[in-house]
Amino acid sequence: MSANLNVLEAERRAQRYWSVDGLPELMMGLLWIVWGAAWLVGQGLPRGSVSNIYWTLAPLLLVFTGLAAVWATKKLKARITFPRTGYVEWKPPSRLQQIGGGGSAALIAGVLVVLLTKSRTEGWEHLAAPMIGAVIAVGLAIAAVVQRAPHLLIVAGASVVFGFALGSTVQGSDGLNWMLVALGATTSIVGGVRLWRFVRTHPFADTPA
Amino acid sequence: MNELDRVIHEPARLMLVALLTGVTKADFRWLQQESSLTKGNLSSHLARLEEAGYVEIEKTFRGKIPLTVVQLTDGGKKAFAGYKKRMKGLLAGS
Repeated sequence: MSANLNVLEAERRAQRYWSVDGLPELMMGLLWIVWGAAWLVGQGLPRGSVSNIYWTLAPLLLVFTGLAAVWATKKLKARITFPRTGYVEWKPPSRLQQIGGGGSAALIAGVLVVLLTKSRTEGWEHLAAPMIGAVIAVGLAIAAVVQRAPHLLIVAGASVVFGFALGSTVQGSDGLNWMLVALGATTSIVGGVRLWRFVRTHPFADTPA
Repeated sequence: MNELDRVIHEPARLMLVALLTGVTKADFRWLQQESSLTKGNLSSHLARLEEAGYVEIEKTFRGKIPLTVVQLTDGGKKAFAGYKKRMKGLLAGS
């Protein structure tokens, strides 16, 4: 045990344990790929009944895949992470944290909706991808500092780069959808590499815990 | 110094209580990895904390593998909060 005991740091250790294995990044990346691809497919459909049904079901797809990703992350942690580095049952978020989290999500969603709507009506659709890329990058940079996860800065940088690159080369809102797919692929790769390193450095332990 | 909780004041136990503050439950392996204590040391410190009523230790199974799950009790949470408050007071007064 370290001679320099930092109580505050020890209290926050469990919080950082959530992202120790790269699984959350891997799942988040896959989720972004699915969401971006779903929007690209939807916009490629000819206008008509099929398109109407598709866009009615699309929000349900977003919610369902979001919940499925959380469920899959927990299942994978039980199979991959806990047998190697120990089992932890995280504290459920407090009422204040739930309100804060919900409020932040609503605020970000609101900003995104305003940006998307304005960009369509005012003819600066090509700016949607760089602007939303920047919003995502700020969120990831904050998460990197709070969770002491510097690898998230790579994803934040990628978000800015893809936002500007795809916003200036791809027509209309497709730039935003392709940005989501590219960012998802980058995030999945970062998560995959971290998972591979975690599995390599932490062999499976079958001794009593 | 006399008013400090001697059970929590010991560095290894202070580390264990601080680690358990951030979780609902954790197993022996996670605590051992995060505290860098040996199995023997960890067991004896947990036993001391259990004796003081600060932690609850549950022995269970995950498949066929024994699993020891540790949880901070309400008494443990109060004692840790009181210890931190007392330490802050002492440091502020020095």
